[in-house]
Amino acid sequence: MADPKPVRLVVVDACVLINLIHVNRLDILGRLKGWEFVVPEQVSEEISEPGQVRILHEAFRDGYIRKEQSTEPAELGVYAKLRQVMGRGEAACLAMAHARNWMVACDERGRFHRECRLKLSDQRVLNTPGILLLAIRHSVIDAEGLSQNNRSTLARAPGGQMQGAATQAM
Amino acid sequence: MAVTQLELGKRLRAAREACHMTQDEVARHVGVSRATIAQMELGNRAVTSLELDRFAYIYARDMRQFVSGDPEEDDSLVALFRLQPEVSGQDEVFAALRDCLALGREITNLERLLEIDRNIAALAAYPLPPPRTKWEAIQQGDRIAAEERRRLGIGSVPLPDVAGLLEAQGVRTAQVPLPEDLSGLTLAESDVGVLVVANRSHHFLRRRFSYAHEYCHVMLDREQKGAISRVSDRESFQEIRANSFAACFLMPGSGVQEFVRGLAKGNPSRLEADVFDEDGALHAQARPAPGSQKIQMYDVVLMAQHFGVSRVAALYRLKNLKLIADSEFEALKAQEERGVGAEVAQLLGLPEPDHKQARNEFRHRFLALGLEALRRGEITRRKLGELAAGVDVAAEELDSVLAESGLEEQDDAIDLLLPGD
Repeated sequence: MADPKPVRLVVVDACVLINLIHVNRLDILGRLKGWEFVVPEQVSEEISEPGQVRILHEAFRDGYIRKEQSTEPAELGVYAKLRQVMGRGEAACLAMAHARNWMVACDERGRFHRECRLKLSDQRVLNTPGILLLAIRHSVIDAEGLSQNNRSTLARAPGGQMQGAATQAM
Repeated sequence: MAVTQLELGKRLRAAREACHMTQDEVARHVGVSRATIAQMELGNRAVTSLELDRFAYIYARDMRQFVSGDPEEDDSLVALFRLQPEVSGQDEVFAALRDCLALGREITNLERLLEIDRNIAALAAYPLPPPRTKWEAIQQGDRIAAEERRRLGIGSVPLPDVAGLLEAQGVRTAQVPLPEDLSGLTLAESDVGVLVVANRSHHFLRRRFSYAHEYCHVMLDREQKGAISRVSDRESFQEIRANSFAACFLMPGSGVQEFVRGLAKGNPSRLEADVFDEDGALHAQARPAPGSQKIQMYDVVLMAQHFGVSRVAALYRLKNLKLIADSEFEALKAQEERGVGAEVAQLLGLPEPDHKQARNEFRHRFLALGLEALRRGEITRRKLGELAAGVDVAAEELDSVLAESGLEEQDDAIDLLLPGD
């Protein structure tokens, strides 16, 4: 019997979390078989709007996502260097994914995306539309799963004008 | 190369001891128990990246010093604590120092990313022995101010932008809210360069004086790696020298005399001259009209405005240059304390400096660096947000500036990123 496919571990940045919180579908991250999504402490701290904090805590409680921390000195070294050019949460995500050979889920472009590609390659970077497409493929949501209302909400979400991409994922 | 957990622990302990902090105090800052700090320092308990961020801030270090390369043996904070050991026990001052160093590192980092070159090798240095008396301190300050003006080729004209002048000399300047007792400070170390900080809470004119004061420390005391200028230390010879320098640099003697002459004042009560024609001399004398040479409050107001100093600073300068007698000085100072100076300034329609605007000068410069770094793709949007928060810019304010300036990426054609499932 063939070995089961290994679980793919993904470190999630704040923008992706906020986008999914906006459509109240953080549960997607816990329902994708073969995938596990982790959130560095710094990313969790970046979400400060009370309503979003509540939804995030519920997702932790329900096991859709889990918290993770960097403690290996080599990983801390990467984190310290990345902090020169990026925010705490971004640096924590990338340092973790880089050191552990994991993936990163982020919607940022510019410097962060460039560093991700440089350190992880395109094969280890996904974003909110990618997660939505994955959710459709895994039958976690269907094309109608995101209502028009939700798509509009996603379009207004900070850090990612996702409407076009969400439609692309549908 | 990365360090081991044991080495990281040792570096954390060394940094704590350099800051004269107890494990209890650090534990309170980090939000863990004293025992946890002890275990981390022994290398028995791993340090998280979040905790590392906290340690770097608490110990006012660059985070990289803990986890890679060789540790900085003797940074400016350590040097300052050695010079002024009481500072480490003063929480408010220590907190201000932390903020200054953190800000200094961010400015340095932005300038490095933008390839802005600071040529501090060109910065003037005047190797002078430490003054042994107050008088010597005053004389040294006076002399160095004149020499530096000569070196810069600025004659005796007023200096409209002191911070700008320092920047042009390779000195980074910043404004940070400091405790009231602190007018400014100078930090000099490899990863920050030379940074001069003025108290953002102080009045614009006082900050100008502080920048000039710190410039003296930069030129004369930078081997010490730093200096903290406190009102309570004003009797120290180094502080006296720096204050003398600031007064003379902002109000050069020849410039003040010229200004006063322009008011047709400052002459002695009797003017005398001898004209010599090889055979002998003819003597002539004149007496200015009684009271005509007496400097009035409106003259002081005009002079303060001209040189960009406070009226009190102008009064002291006039006194030191013997342009007013001690009794006149006392009378004018009493008037100033009664608010006469401010009333006269208003009457003359002289614009008071826009204090709020001037306070934000540094913020503008700092954020402009950040915006340029974002535009060039050198930093992320989130990093800019952190930098902006560090100088009290609200997130909404930044969002609005980015959207209006076109720096926020508006492109809605986002690629779908999903590696092979």
